[in-house]
Amino acid sequence: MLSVAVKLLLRHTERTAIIVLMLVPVVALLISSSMVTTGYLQQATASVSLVHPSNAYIAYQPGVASPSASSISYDSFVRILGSGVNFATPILSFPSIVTDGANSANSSVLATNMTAFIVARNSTVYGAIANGGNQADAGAIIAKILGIKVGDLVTVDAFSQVQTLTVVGVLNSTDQSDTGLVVPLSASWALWPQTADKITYVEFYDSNQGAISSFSGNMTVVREEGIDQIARSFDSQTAALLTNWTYVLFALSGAAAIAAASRVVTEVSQEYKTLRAIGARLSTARALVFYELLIISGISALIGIAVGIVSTSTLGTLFKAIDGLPLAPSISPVQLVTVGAASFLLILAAGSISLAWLPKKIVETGEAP
Amino acid sequence: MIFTKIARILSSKRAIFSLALILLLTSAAFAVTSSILLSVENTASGMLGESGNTIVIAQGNSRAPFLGTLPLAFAGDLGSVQGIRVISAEVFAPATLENQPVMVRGVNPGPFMELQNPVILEGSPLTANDTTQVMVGVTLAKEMSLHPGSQITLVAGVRATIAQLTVKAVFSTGTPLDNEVIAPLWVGDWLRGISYNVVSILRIQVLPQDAPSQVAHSVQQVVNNASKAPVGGSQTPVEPGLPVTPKPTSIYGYDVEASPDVSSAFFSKTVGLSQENVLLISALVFVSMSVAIVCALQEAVFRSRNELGTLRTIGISSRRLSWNLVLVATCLSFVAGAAGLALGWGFLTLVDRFSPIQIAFYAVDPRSAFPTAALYSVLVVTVAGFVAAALSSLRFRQPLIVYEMTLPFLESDPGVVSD
Repeated sequence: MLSVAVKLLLRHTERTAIIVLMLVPVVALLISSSMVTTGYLQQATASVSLVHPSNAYIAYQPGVASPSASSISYDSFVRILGSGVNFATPILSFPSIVTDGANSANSSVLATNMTAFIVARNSTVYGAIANGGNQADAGAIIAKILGIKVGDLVTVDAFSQVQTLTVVGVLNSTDQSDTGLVVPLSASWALWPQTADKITYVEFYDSNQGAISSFSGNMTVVREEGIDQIARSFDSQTAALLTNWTYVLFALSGAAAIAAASRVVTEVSQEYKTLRAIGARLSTARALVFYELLIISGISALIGIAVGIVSTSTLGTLFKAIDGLPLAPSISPVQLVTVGAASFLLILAAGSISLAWLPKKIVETGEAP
Repeated sequence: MIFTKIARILSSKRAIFSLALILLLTSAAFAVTSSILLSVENTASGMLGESGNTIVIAQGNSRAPFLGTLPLAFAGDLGSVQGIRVISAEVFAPATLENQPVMVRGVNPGPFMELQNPVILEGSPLTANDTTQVMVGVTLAKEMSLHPGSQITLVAGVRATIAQLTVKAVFSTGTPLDNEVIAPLWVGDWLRGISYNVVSILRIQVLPQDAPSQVAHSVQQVVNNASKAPVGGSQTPVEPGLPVTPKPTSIYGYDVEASPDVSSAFFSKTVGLSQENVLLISALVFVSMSVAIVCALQEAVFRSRNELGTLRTIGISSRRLSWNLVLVATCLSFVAGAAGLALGWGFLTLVDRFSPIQIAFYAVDPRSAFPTAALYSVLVVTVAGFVAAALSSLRFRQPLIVYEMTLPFLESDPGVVSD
């Protein structure tokens, strides 16, 4: 039966060629989109793997919404410091109203180990570093807003207690501490007893994450740099967009396959009608059409794969040459075979549906031989 | 009369449903493809905050406009340029909020509010003395359930630091800015890791009576003149330690780009996201589908060959038959194309709901460019139907004997014609 189908197709070479030409663009479209989307995704995934965020972390009270809501004992800092991490710095932060003369602003007090803080934050100090008592350093932003100068006396209202501090220096750390007053931890504990032996969170560096595992069970530990999360998110965005695009393409290809395969069955159905008219069994006649469909689908899939590869590669080169676009289609044998096989089955399935519509008896349709 | 007959003949055959389905799907697919891509292009081209009368000045040789840096004091150098209404110095800082990427835009509240004029939906606007307060765009606020008073912790994207801030207002602009966190300029500097006298871009609003492209040209001239006459030591911080200095400085050594289309040009250059390429991709999809349209139309005509042949033999001219066939197919294409838009709209609604599209930090409503895409779609599908029908009808324009030869099935079906 297969050889008969081959002979019939060879006998009508022009008709066979036209049908194959109709199916080739459908396969080529799927191959082409598959190559482009895979290429894009591979590039995106490769970019994500190149991203290495810094090893700076903060550790704070577990279960709270944000580090600012955290409150942990100073012993927690001591434990973290002893675990082998680098540049561990305790931070105690609380809101306050800072007044310098007639100017006042909602601000905050940041209490810390001054030496470690200035090293870790790479701060620039104008004036002196506060070393206890009623001394404070003003952050660069709050100093600018309130007009604070070295030597000024500022009042700090926190926990319903007003304290007067002497500004001995201005700190520029280019971070949030620039909007508040920075004081030694011991000074904060003494001036505001509500904060005694408490800290808000601990900042530290850890290059191998080995130390983190020793205390992460009791603390929430987060990285201070989110570039890896941003890269992963962009990667998944690209994947989602391409997935939607693939849905659309498959719907299109399915519809195109149904139309083209229906045309195939109509074209080759003359043999079916002839066989039925001379008394061949229904199964024999349908098998002949099916074999013709099988051969045409196979040839179309093979040519479609080749056309898809050539056209996508050519377009990629052209786009790069003309616009400098980063279009890098992926050519993976496994992927090509998979998409080619899927296209073949799609056409075959669409043709089989059309085949089922062929009349069992020729006279029923009114299309007499 | 003939039109009605041909329409009735075609619609009586099963193949017409196949043709209608193909046209419907092609229309929907074309509309979906072009609407998604045009929406993405619209969002990308307004990402820096450009609009009809707003131009952007960015570092020309940076990898991306929002990654470049400019001296803040350059804003002062532009005082002599005519046609400028207001200049807003802004810093872009990629960050994460609850593990979601967000773009933080550091601004000087006064000029920003004057230029952007956002609608404050909740809370009160940002002011110059707000140290750690921020405004949140309405899209982001809805997504993250943020309201005035909400405490947020932003983790910097390109530097190891965090910022603990308080939401002061929720605003709406109807632009991609609705996805951003608007913070004081220094918050942007912290999160970006740049010093206080540096910004990412300058946005300039042009006076209504001046052309944005003319002002952009004037700005470029100021830049070129400044580059030719360097001022020694001008790039050092003017007032160390105390940020936000208004003292002018030279921009010598900077490659500056001033244009109303900075981000549009960037996305077109780097990822090929331009309106022309969007339509090209949609057209490629359509060309592939046009094969199916031609096949389906030929099938419909072939199935009706007996009835159409009868009309031909009873004396209707081939020209008249052909034109009416083309007319019927064109009308069918138009109706199916228009109906396909409903399918496309439904698909886009599902996409928006279950698989939202986002480009970088900005949510994209895939339906925002649907009217334009719909227009293209109906036009293209109708023209395709017309062309396919014209090709199919060619056989009726030939003498009857040739017509029979082009349809080999008729050779074995002579009784039907005579019937």
